[in-house]
Amino acid sequence: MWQGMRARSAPMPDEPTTCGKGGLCHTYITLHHTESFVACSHNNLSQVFLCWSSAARILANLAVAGATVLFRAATQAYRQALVNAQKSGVTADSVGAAARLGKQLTRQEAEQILGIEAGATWEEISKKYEHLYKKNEEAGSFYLQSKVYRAKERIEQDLQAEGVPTPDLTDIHTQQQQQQQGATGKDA
Amino acid sequence: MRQFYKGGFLPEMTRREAALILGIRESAAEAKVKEAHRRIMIANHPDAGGSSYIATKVNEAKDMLVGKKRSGSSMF
Repeated sequence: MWQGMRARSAPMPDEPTTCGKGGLCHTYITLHHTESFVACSHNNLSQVFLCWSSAARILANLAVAGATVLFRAATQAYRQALVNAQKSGVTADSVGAAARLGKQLTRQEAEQILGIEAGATWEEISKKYEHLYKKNEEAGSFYLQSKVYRAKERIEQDLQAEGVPTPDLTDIHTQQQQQQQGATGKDA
Repeated sequence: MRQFYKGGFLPEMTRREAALILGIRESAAEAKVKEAHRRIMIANHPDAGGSSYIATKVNEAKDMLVGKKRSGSSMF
């Protein structure tokens, strides 16, 4: 295939060296298939690429084919994964997913909300809870107050599961009870 | 007695959550947003016994509601 064709890097004496359009026309490319083809920067770029060696073309086709196959495989795998997830229902990382949705309060976030460390005593937790609860009741939002309450509730549940005593050390709820008793006392 | 909201904060702040955190409406004017932010930050200030996590959330909420009102004021 390559017999009868020779590679050249310079134009023959009689050949034109420019396309005649003037300007930036100093790019001379000899193309292997067509010896008489003179290319310059004015020509269409696609024409230049067409005349590269066919080996490059084959490689390009292979690359495109390979990419297509990989892409199809990836989409199929993704679809299969979705089906699997639906079938299995509660998966191993559904807990993580729920936590990420914010619907499940993690122990770590509960500790962050109350501003306590991992190994805090129930007394410390109670103090922080009471302070935050009161502050947000007076000048905060109900939403923040809820988060504070839920954070304390979460840690309380954890500690109770471990067997640690969690008595009500705050006077939030006793105040409310006194208010209720006081109100009924007035009526009577 | 009103039921407390369940769960923790959302992993990514939304306008709705921001309004809930500040105790205002989503459509509140910027002045109201700033006033609510100031009041709630004082109540939850880390230096005054609050938790820095909540303080961060309050700031985030204010940024979300104030930022959206302005027409994309970028520093760059």
